[in-house]
Amino acid sequence: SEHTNLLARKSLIEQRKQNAELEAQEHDRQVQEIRDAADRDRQAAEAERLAAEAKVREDDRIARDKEARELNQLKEAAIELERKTGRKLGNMDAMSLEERKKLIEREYAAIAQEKKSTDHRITTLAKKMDYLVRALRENERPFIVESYQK
Amino acid sequence: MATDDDIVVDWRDFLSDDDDDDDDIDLPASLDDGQNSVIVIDNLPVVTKAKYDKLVQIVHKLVAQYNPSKTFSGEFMMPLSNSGAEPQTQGFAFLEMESPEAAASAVEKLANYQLDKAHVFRVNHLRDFEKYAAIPETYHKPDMQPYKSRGNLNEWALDNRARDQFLLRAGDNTQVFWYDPKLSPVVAYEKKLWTESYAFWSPSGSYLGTFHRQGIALWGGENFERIWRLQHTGVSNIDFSPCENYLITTNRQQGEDCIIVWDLRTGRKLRSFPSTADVWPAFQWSHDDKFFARIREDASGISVYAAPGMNLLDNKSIKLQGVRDFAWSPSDNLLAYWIPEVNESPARVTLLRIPEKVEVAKKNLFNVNDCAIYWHPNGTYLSVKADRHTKTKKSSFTNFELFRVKEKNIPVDLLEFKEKVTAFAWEPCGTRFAVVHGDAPRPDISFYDMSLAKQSRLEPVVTLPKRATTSLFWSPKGHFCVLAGMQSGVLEFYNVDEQLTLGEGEHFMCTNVEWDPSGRYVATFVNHRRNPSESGYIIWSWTGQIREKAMLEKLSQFIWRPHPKSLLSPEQVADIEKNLKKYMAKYEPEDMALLTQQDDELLQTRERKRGEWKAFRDNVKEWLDRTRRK
Amino acid sequence: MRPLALKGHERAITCLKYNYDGDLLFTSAKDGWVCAWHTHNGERLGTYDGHKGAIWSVDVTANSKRLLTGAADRTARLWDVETGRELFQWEHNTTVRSVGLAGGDERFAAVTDAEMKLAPTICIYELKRDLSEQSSKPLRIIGDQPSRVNIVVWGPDNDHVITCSDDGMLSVYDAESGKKTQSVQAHDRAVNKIQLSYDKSMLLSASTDYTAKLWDARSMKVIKTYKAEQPINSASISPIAEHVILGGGQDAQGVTTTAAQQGKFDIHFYHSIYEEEIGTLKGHFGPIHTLAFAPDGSGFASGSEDGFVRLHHFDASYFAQKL
Repeated sequence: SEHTNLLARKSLIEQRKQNAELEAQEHDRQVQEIRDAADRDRQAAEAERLAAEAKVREDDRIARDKEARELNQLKEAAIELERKTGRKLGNMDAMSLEERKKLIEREYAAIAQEKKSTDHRITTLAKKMDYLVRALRENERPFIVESYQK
Repeated sequence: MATDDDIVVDWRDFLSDDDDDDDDIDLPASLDDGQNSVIVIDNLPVVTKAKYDKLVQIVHKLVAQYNPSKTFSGEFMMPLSNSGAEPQTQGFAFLEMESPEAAASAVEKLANYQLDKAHVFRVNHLRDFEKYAAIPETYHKPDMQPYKSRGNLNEWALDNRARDQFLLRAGDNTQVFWYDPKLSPVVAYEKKLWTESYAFWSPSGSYLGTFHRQGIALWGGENFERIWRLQHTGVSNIDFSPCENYLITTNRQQGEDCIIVWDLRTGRKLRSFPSTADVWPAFQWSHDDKFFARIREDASGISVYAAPGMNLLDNKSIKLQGVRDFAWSPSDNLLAYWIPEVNESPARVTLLRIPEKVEVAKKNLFNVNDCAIYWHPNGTYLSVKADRHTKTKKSSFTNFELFRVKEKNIPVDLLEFKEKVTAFAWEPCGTRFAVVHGDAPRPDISFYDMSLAKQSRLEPVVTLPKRATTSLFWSPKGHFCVLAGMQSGVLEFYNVDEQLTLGEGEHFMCTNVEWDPSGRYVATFVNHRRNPSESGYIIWSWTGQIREKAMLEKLSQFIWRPHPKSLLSPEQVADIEKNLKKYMAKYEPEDMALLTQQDDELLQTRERKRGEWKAFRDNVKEWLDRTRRK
Repeated sequence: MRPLALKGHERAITCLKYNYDGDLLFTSAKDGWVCAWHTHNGERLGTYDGHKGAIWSVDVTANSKRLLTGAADRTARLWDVETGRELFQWEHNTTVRSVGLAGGDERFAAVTDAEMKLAPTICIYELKRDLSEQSSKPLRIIGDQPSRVNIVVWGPDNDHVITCSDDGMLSVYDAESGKKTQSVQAHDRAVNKIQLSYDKSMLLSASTDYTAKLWDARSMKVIKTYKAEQPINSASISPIAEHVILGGGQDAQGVTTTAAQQGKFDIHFYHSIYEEEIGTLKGHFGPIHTLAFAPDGSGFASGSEDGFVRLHHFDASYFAQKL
């Protein structure tokens, strides 16, 4: 019947309406979800970026500290070397780490070389001293004999 | 000098004999007091009647001063002889003093009194003649001993490898070694119980001396034959004259024979001195053996005696009231002495020429507590270290007065330290000196050069800061100096010419540092008394490398044998230095051959040992087989 | 060659002994303990408790079943190696300084110290397999020794005992008759230890006179002298390499703070034939009292005043180099 149809229709319409609402809700939810996900991604990315930046900054700081420390150590080593050798190594403040390293290495090599040549010189000197004493005594011998015979 | 408690007394060496004379045996003194007051003066001028009274007068006057009454009225007898044309004295006289003490004093003080050039008194107690009277009247001709050549006592210095020798005393064993750093030390001579306490070398190394209860024995020559036996009971210290002509011994027994001067050419006693002062050396010798001197025990002056006459120079001491210390120049007959401040007069250091007694330099010092005299070994400079205090006496500081003795008018430089000075040492054969100054345990060491003074001002050539150094040991040839911390045993071998540390080392607990006479090696050793478990020695090259090291139980002495002074002229030395290449060309192959020979010997020894071992083991194997079968 | 430091004793180690197979090491100490150790890993197998006072000497039978000890409590004791149980006890008048088993383990010798009016003695005992038959009385007493006897060992013929003493002598006695058959002034000072080579042909003596000497144990003629720089307390000869090890050091009171730095407590290796020192090994902080090579020569053990036993195993390079 009409009424039945009408009811049926009404119910259908309501059904549709309900469906449509649900759909809309679902759609909204999905949109929201997508939006949320995007937000999360964005936030994560942001956090990541921040972390990365912090890490870079931290690495930088560590590197700077390390370099400063090394620079300082090299400077101290240089001062120590200057004190030991009495040679000026120039103004370190203006030099880069690499330059300082090279300079110190060069200095150490020079010292090792000097030590080697000093050792060699001392050995030669010691030998020479021995030869000199022997030569002098050799030449003294006739005089000792002579002074005894007198 | 302590006696060695762990030495077993053995004086057979001293007594055992091939040659001789047991003269100087002490007989008990006569108890007759009258006779103990009588003295005999010998070596008086021989005079005729004409001068007899004059001589009596002189002798009376001389003798009177030793009597308590300051006059002489005792018995006097100067016998006359009628053998000549007219009666004349015989050169001696008997005198009775007021007391035995006066007699003793006269015997001592008048001994070797020089009346004039030709007459030096011999004075004895009459009782001493009793001893001589005991000698049989008839003269027994001694068996003639074949003449024994003593040989050249410096023969050892002719060694063709120019090696040095050193003496070691460990326990009761005394050893003399030849030393060549390429090889191990080789024993030249050794003997157990050679000495009861110490052994010592004479200044040029000619003699080795040993201590015995009865006296000193001197040894020399290749096999260390005994040269002299110097009888002095209880002898405790000895001192050679620089040219080895004389030896002074003491037994510290405060008797008339406390100090004896010996003639090393004859082995005879020249003179004895009583002494109550416990100072050693009792006398100091001039560089040429011509004079020896000591401060009078009452500090009223310095007595200078002339050798070999043994007479007091000009018969009187040099009056220097309060004199504290003196030292002969090592190159001239110059005495440096110092007298502390008395009342208003300041302390002073004076240089006196002997025998003229002329002051050649003098320097007044103010606010002085103490002085120390350091002659440069060549006599070129004299350093007087004066410990001074400020006017308020609140703080003290140190001055060095540096006399340039060989320069005209002897100028004096001054060097001041505001801090404590713990050591000073001249560079032998050089113009430099080193000073340890500042606070222990890490004082500074400064080197100065007299030739670099500017207007009498000295600046350090170099200062080594904060060293654990307590003592300085210059090489006998100069240029190098060992800085030693005698507590820590830390050693630094320093080249002063180049201001370069050649080497560093440590000899824990080391008690002595000794350069060899050639300046090639430095020996350090630990006396077992300081530390029995470290007892031993190390020989270093002058550059600080260890050449030889040995632990020796009961090591008490390590002494290099001094080498005779060089007889080469400076020109000859310069010539040799110039031609050193020539000598090197000769010595280098010699050394190589020596090393090769040493290697060969080692290999041969090993081969021999292996052979012996194999024979032994084969025998063992056979024995093992045999016993196993059983 | 990293050594194992065996810590089981609280006081100075007096004696150490490997068993015949070399798998066990027995150590005695002043703390009154005897320990047994596995040599391959240094683990302690056990202890033998009973003595009251310092234990001076330890010996083990060839079959590793029984352990013999001598101690300051005036007893010599026999132990069961495996269970640690005490089996028998011999009482003496004074401290038992050293015990030594004869070859075949049927007899042993014990030496006692002097005390009051008693002179040192050497006692020879019979050792029964069945302990119910064991007597506590010696077969023979060789008395009136002139100086403290430090070690007793049985000579290569198994009929004589050899002793070393404080007066520097090595003496040989007929174990049967007790007669002194030989006597040598071996050293200038006390001989602290003697040790036979594993084949019993050689005897090594260690003395306070800074030397160790190697003797032909059959003739008692000296073959080699090894000169050291400190008093020697113990020495041992390698059964396989041409090596002798020496150890010692100053008495406790003579020790300076730097003695350890100065190498006084090092173990010194000598070439047994050439008599030259070839190397040193650091480790101990006090004088070394006892040293022994393992029976196969693969290592050695050392015991010191510092209370440590150090067990050394040679590595391959040692054998490559020295064999």
